[in-house]
Amino acid sequence: MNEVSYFARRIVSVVALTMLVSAGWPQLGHTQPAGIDPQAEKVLRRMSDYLAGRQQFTVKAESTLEAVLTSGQKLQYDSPATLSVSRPNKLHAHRKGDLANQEFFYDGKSLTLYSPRANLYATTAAPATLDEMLDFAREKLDVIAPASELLYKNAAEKMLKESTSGFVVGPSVVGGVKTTHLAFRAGEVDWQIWIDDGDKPLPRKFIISSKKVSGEPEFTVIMRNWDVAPKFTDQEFNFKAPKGAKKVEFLSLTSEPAKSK
Amino acid sequence: MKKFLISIVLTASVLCMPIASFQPDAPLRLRFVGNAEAIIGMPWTPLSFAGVARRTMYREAAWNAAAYNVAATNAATANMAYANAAAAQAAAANASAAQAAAANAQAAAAAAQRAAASLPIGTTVPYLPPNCNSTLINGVNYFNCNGVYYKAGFQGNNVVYIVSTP
Repeated sequence: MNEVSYFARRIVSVVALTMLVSAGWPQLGHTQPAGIDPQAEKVLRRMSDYLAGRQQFTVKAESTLEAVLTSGQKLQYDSPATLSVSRPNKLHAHRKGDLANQEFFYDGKSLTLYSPRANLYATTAAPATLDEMLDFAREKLDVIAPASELLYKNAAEKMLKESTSGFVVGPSVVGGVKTTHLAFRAGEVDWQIWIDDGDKPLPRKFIISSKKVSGEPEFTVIMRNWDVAPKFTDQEFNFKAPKGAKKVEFLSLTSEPAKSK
Repeated sequence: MKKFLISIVLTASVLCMPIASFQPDAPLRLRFVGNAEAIIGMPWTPLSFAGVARRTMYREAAWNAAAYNVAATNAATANMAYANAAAAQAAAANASAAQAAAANAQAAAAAAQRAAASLPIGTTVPYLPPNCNSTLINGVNYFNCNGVYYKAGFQGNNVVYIVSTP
């Protein structure tokens, strides 16, 4: 690491911390410890274990994607999505907004991606469990399935595995909910997560900073309206082709190369 | 590390699977950027996106740029051909060999049309040109756009159209 920038950062962070402390946030008074703070790990694991134990849930996620223009100017794109999960093997996600409209169905047997705008869908046989399906979608289809990492039974394990440091930033209120704010560092990204302090330790906010990318753009998800006792039937997860919808292929599964010219 | 990135990013995708597929419902559909930024080389061309580690997103950005380059090149070719046609017509008006020149102009115009319409087989674009008809050939859905056939499919989270031979 560049020493100058390292020290510059330290100085900035010390100054920032001092300012915050003097602003009356004593929880921030400690310096960032090396490695992963056991308390941060504990809070993260509690969230992960809790979510892994929910058999059914729904949540609304509002994500913001930052794009950095060649001029250096940043733009943000917002996109709301709803997600329904029924363990061990069902998932339905719908992203609906001005910029995108897409549905993802997994019923334990097959996986379908549907684009209402184009009125096209693709279906393929899928593995029998949620965890396996998420891997399959990512590796074979290059489809980023919703909620992937948080949905894995060992979500915290996966997230901690390659993080080099992490600490508890302190208490924070997100969307009117009292949370604990955690911050972690990894090789390419820094990430932060806000976890509900209540008896339902759900993730409320999540940020990834691509720190080695020009402009250091961030990706943010705010999760609202968690429902861990939803009422839905299997219909929720079964795709029925709407009128006029045409079936196409997942290009990664066909021999035809899908390369741009 | 890479794995972590992907996973972290997947986490990010929390509930937003389609994150890599912003598709404005405009005639010229760009992902991530609106129509104002459609022109390659404009200052609006995105340099980077959050979560570039997201393989799909990274590829998406590069891939879009490539697609638009193809479109831009074709448009330029067509413009040039039209310009030639116009020049030929002007020449025709002045020259005594008017008939021959007019024929040349027509040929040039036709060439321009072909240049605008023809994309190499296998070219992948994120949108269809206007006036396409859906048609089923041997069980596969194609879009016939003025004689150019496109096959649709999902590339990652995104719908793309590939110039194909039915």
